[in-house]
Amino acid sequence: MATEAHDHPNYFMVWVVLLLLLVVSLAAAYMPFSQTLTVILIFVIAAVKALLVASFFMHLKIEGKLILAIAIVPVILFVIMTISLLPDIVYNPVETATQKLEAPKSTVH
Amino acid sequence: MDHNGNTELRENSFWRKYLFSADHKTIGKQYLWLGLIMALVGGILAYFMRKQLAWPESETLTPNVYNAFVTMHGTIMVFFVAMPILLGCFGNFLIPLMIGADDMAFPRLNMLSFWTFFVGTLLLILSFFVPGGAAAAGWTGYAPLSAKPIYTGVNWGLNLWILSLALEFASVLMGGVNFMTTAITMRAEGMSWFRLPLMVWMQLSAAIIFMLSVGPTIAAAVLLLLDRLVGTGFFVPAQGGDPLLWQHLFWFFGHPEVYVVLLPGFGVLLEILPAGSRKPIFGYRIIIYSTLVAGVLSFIVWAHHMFVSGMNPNLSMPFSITTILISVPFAIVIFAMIATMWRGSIRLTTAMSFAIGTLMTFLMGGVTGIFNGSAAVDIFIHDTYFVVAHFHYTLFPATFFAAFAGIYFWFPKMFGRMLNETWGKVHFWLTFVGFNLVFLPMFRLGMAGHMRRLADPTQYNFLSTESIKSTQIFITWAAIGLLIGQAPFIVNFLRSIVAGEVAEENPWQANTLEWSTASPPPHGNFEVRPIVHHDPYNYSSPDADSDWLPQDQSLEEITT
Amino acid sequence: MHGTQANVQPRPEFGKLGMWWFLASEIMTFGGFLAVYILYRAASGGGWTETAEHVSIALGSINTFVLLTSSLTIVKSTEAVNQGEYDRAKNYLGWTILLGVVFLAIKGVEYTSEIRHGFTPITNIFWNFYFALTGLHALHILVGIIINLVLYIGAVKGTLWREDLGHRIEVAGLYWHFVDIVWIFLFPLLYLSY
Ligand SMILES: [Cu+2]
Repeated sequence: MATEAHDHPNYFMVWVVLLLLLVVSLAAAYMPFSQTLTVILIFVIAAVKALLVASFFMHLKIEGKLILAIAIVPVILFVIMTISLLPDIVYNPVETATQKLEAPKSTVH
Repeated sequence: MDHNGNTELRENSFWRKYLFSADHKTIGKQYLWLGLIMALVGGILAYFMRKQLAWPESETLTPNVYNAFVTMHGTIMVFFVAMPILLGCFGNFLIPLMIGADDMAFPRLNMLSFWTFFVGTLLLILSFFVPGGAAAAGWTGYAPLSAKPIYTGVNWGLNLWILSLALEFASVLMGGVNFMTTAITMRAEGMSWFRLPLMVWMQLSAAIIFMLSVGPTIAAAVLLLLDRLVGTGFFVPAQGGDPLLWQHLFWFFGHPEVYVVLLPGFGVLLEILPAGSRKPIFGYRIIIYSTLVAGVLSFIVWAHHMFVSGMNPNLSMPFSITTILISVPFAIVIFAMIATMWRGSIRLTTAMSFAIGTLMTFLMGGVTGIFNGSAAVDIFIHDTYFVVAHFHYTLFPATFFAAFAGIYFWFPKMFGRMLNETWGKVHFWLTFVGFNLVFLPMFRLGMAGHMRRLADPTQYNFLSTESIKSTQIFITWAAIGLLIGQAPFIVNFLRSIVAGEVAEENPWQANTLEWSTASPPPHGNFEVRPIVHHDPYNYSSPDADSDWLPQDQSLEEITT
Repeated sequence: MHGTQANVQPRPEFGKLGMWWFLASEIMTFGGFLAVYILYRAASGGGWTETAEHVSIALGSINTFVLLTSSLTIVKSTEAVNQGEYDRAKNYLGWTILLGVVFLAIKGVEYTSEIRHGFTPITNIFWNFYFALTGLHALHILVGIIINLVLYIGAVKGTLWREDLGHRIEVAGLYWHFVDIVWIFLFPLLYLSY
C-alpha cells in the first residue's frame, strides 16, 4: 500500500504536465506537418500521457513485480495481436472481396 | 472454531446455506449439478444429430434444425459443461481446500459469478424456444453468416446465444479474479509456490489464460451484436467490414480456450495418478514450467484454424511452426504422467481407470492435432470429420474422462459418501469403449472427404457408398451405447448422495490438504488452520511409517 | 493436530489485487476494440478522413481536460484517506463524481449535434466505430460514477473508513484511472487522426 505519505509524487504537477501534453497534441494536429509525422506525434504523446497516469496516479511506479506484470503482459499481448493481424487485414495479397475496405461515403454534409 | 474474524462465516439459514450460498464448497457443487444437467442436454442433441446422419431418409431433423443442434451441441459442451465442471466445480471446491484457506478471497463475488453463469445458461436454453429457433451459425459464429439475421433465418436465437456467452465469460472472469487473488494471498503457512498441488497450478494457469485471451472475443461479440441489432457493418463486407477479422478475434480466444478446459483436466490427473500409483509425481517443476511455456505459446497459434479462410498465406508458415512447437510442452507433461505410473503399485480404482483412459485417448487427440496443425495437410482435411474426430479426442477426455475421474475421486469429500466402485468400473468400460467406437471411425470418414455440419451427406454421391453408410450407422449405434452407458453413473451418483457408504476423512490415502479435514468439510473448512511441511506428492517415503505423508503432518511428530 | 491462525494477509490487499486482475482483462477487451478500429482504419488508406472531419475537436478536448482533472481529484482523495483527512477525501470524491457527470453531459451534447447533422451510428463504418467506442467508454464512465456514488454515500455515513473494508477509494480509483487511459487513446484515435 502507498502508505509512505511523503514519498508520494506531486499529483498536481503530474496533472499540469498531462494538460500541457494535451495542448501539444492539439497543436501537433493543427500544424502543417506531414500526416505520418502528425500520427506518430499524437500517439507518442498519448502513450506518454497513459504512462504518466499509470505510473503516478495508479502507483505502478511503486507497486511490486506481480502487479506490474499483471498490467504489462496484456499490453504486450495486445501489441503482438495487432501486429500479427497487419499482414492479414491491411496487407493481404490475396484478392478477396473485402480486401480493400471501401471508403465510407458520408451521406450528408 | 476460529475464523480470523471473517464476517462471512456465520451459520446460515436454509436459503443462504443451499441456494444463495457464498460458501465455495456449495458453489462448487452447484456448478457440478449445472454442468451435469447441461451434459445431458448436449448428449441428447448429439443423439438426434447421429440419428439424422445414419438414417437421413428418416428426416429426423430439417437442415435448419440440424444446424442449430450442431451449434448448440458445441456451445453447450465447451462452455456449459466443460467450464462449469472443470473450472467452476473443481476450481471452486478444491482451491481453498488445497491451499488450506477458509474460503475464497471474495465469497460474495463467487456467488455472483455462479448466478451470472446460471442466468447465462437459462438464456441459452430459452433460445431453443424463441421464434426462429436457436443459433445456427456454428459454435464459432463465423461472420458474415452470423452478422445478419437473414443469413441463417435465426434472429433472437443468435442474439440470446451472444448474450448468454457474454454472461458466461463475465462469470468465469469473476471466478478467475477470485482464483488468482485467493491463491496469491490466502495460502496456509508453509504452503510455498512449489508446494502447491498441481491442480492449483493448473487452475491458476487456466484462469490466467482465460483472462488474457477472452477480451478480444468479447469485443468482437459486442461488435457482432451491434451489427445484428443496430445495423452497423463491422463484419459485413457490403458495409466495409471484414469477416476475416471475426475469425481472428474468435480464435485468438478459441484456441487458448481449449487449454482453459484441458489444464484443469490435467490437474485432475496429476492429483489422481500419484495417489493411485503410490509414487511421487515425476518432474513436479518440469510440469509447471511446461505448462507455463504452453500457456505463452497458446497465444500465438490461433490462425491454424484459418489455413483455408483466405487469410494471408504468409501467415500459414509461422502459425504452423508455433502449433507444432506447442505439442512439445504437452508431450513433456504426458511423459511425466506416464513416468509417475511407471513401476508404481497401482490401485486401479474407478478414478484411476478414468485417469488412465484420459491419458490414452488424449494422446490420440494430440497426435492427430499435429496433422491439422501443418498447413499443407490441413488444407486437405480441413472441415472434415477428421477434425471432428480430432477435437473430440482432445476435448472428450478432458471434459468427460477427466471430469469423471475427478468426480469419482472427490465425491467423498463433496458429499461425505462413497460412490459405488463396481458400478463405477462398469461405467468406465462402457464410456471408454463407447467413446472409441464412436470417434475412431470418424477419422476414416474424414479421410474419405466427409464434410462437417452436413445434415444429409447422401446428397453427395461419394458419401452415399455402402461402406460410408454402414460406418455412419455403426457410429450411431455406438453413440447410443455411449449415452446408455451413462445410466450407471447417473443412478450411482444420485443413489450414493443419499445412501452411499459413509466416507472417511481420507479414503484414498492421499496427501493434499483437502484430505486432512472432515468429509464433507465444515463451514470454514478446517477446525484448525493447517501448517504445511511437505510437497504434496510424498508417497512411499522411506521416512514415514505409512506409504503416504499428508502435507500438514511433520515428520518429527511421527517419530516422537 | 496442530496449527495456528496467523498468516492471513490483511484483506485490504485483496481488493487491489482483484481489481488489477480485472483491469488486465479489460485491457484485452478494449485492446480488441482498438485493434479492430486501427486495422480497419489502416486498411482504408485514408479513405475515412473526409467523414472523420465532422467530429468536434473542441468538445473532445474539453472532455479530455475534464477526465484528466477527475483523475487528479480521485487520486487526491486517495491521498487524503492515507493522511486520515476523511473530510477532504469525501470532497475530492464528490468532485470526481461531478466531473464524471460533466463528461457524460458534454458527450450527450456531442451525440445530439452529430445525429442532428446526419451522423448516426449507422451512417458509415467510421461512425459505427465512433459511436461503439465512445458509447462503450461512456458506459464505463457511468459504472465508475455509480461506484463512486456508492462510496460517497458510505463516506457521508462514515462507514467507508472502517479498517476491515480496506482502501476502497484506492481500488475505485484504479478503475477510474483505467477508464481515463482508455480515453487518452480514444481521443487521438477518433478525433485527431484525419
Ligand atoms: Cu487451435
